[in-house]
Amino acid sequence: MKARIYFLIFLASLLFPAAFADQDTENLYASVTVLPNFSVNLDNNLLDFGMIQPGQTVTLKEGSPYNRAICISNKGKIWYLKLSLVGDIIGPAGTKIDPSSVKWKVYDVQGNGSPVEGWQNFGATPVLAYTAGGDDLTGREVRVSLQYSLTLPDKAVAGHYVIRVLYSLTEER
Amino acid sequence: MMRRKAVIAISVFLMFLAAATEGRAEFNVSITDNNNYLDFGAVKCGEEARIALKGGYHHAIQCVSTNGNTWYLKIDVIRPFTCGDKTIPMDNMAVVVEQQVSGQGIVMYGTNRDIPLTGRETTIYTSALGDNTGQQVVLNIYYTLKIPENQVAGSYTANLQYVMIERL
Repeated sequence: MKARIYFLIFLASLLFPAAFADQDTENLYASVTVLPNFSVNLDNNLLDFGMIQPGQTVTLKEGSPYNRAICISNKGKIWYLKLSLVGDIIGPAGTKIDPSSVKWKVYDVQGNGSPVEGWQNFGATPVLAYTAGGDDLTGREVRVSLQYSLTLPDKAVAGHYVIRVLYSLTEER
Repeated sequence: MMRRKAVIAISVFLMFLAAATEGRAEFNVSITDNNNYLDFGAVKCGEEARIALKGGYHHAIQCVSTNGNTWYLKIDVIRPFTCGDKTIPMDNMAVVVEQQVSGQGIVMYGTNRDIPLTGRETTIYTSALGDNTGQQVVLNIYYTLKIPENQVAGSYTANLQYVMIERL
């Protein structure tokens, strides 16, 4: 009985060669390092409130965003956009005013994370503006639109005021 | 009883004959210089890397068959580019036959054209009559890999396999 089975298997191999098709292989090993991208850029970095009178509040480009922080990270980790004031708020003839006179606000976001809502003060350390989420971590461009407002104190000197802001992208909360 | 022994004897003889014939047959695929490693290096998102170190190509694939049957050279994705739980879709990688040094068969899409790795198996070459009787078929090959725009950074590795086979 066994002999007949062997014989039939052999005959099948002759009649249906595709079922017993020859094959040979060679292995390949491939590698690539995808470089990290971690950057923030601005479409407008001039924060100039122009001529302002004591007691007056000026919002740059009121009713619309003033500038956008364009953030990219493909590091696969949660990142944070933070804002901080650089140096003093400089007015006419080198006069200075208190940093609490300036406020900022996230106007809108093109991203999947969480913006901080409402008007905020600048602090002594960088202040959180946006926390990344979803595919913000995999290299998509996230646009955080911002607004800025300056209220000149009653006792301050009228004139031209400019601020400098540092935008930081960080993985530390 | 005698008839049974005769069947066994004939079967054994035919199997030996088949084994001996197969021993003489040649059916193999090889890579020149044992250069089986594809290092695409460090690449930015959205950029394309190409491995073609030997003046236009990376290595040559050599195939020989004396079986008299049509055969196919395929590339098989055993494991796609992976880094932890992240992968690079394999259709971003392409095999390009820079030159058909010898062989009468057909290179998929022709020479110097991308053959993207769209599935588990991709056919690179189909043999012709003259390729099936012992003539060596040599294909000079290079590779390209495009990193998608939204790819998480990291070191990715992949396993592939050239398969020379008589079945499509």
